[in-house]
Amino acid sequence: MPSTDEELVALSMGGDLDSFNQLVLRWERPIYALAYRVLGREEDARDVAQETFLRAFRALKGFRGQSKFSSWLYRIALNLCRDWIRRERRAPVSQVPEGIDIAELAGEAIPSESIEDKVSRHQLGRVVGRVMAGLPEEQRTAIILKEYHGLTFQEIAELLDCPLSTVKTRLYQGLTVLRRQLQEAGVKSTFGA
Amino acid sequence: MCDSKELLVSFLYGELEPGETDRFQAHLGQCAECRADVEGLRSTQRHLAAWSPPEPDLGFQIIRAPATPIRAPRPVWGGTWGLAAAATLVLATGAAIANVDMRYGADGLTLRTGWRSSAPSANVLPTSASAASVRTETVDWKAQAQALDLRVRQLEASLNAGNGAVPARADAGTDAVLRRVSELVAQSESRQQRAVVAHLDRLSQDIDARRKVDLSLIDQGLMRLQTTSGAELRQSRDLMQRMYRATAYQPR
Repeated sequence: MPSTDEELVALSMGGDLDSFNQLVLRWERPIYALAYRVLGREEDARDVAQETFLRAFRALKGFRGQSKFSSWLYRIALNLCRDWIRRERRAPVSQVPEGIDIAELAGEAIPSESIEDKVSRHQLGRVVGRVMAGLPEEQRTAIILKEYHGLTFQEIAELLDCPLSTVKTRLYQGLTVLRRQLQEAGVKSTFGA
Repeated sequence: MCDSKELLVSFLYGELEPGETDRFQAHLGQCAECRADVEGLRSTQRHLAAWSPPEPDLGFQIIRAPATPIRAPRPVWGGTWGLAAAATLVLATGAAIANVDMRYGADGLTLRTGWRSSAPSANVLPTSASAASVRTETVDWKAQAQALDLRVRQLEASLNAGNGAVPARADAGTDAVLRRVSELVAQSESRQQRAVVAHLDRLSQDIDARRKVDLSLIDQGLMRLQTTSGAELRQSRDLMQRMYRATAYQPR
């Protein structure tokens, strides 16, 4: 039976390295995805994800369990992303390959999707990535945490150290800008789809 | 209610209390502006789902640092260099054990085994400088011992003929020395032969292991070639690219 994060954390704190590596296996993809969407670069996202787990491992003794383990990881990863943005002094990018590898696309999940739909989805993803990269960091982060990681408003507020109302405002403003820019990019609305 | 975008966002993500949800839904029935806002943002949410990160091979793992310093990785040598290195090692070891005398000069490379002769180049045949050759000479100790024995007997005979004063035990002592010399020579030759056989056996094993690895690699390469030929790959890529062009996304 798979253990909960809390159980694995407790075992890890007792020196069980395997338990910590189970947590790494469980959370490496979400953390990588978060870093990728915030930074926009694969290599940097990989570095941030790796560094996140290293820091978490080193600081595990100091984890008191006030928040979820995943929230704690998200906080470390977001701090690293902010450091990266400050250090590099450049805005995030949307790093999307120019060409499309159709063979790779055909092998993706969602088996019921036709190749045309997959190509359209891929193209749309590129547009969304580009528009997201243009959003202010606070709005982009709020949207990423809510839309792609399913955190509650309260969890986002705690992670970003801001009031609940600020989180909601950032989300509304960010989504509104996205909506407008996607329309300008030629993406049609899909009411009721 | 229209001014409260916080309420709208909470409704959008289903984080309103049940009572608040009912009230907001009732409001949406009357307010076209908020209804359009909610529908537009829901559409945007669906578009956001299309943006997915690449699928990298992560496989992060925390490992404990070893207590002892990590040794530098052993260089992986290719087949030819590996065999050459093994052969050199065997020759060097054999030379050390077998008391080999190796010389290289204008007359090529000369290799001697066994006890050193006092006249190193007396038996070396001259060779052309451009084509170095390797010759192996084994000193015939038995013949030399017999010659020595003969020489001693001649001396004895001459002494006996001269004054007849050589004691009998001198002859017995010389025989004992010669027997001892012969034994030592035989033991030395036996040791050398065993050492060379052992090294040749090891070299043979190394070559055999390398050959198996190379054969396995060739076999794998052939399997890959059989499963995916280049022509098939190009054909399928061309087909897919044509499909892509035909179905390309056309933004307005």
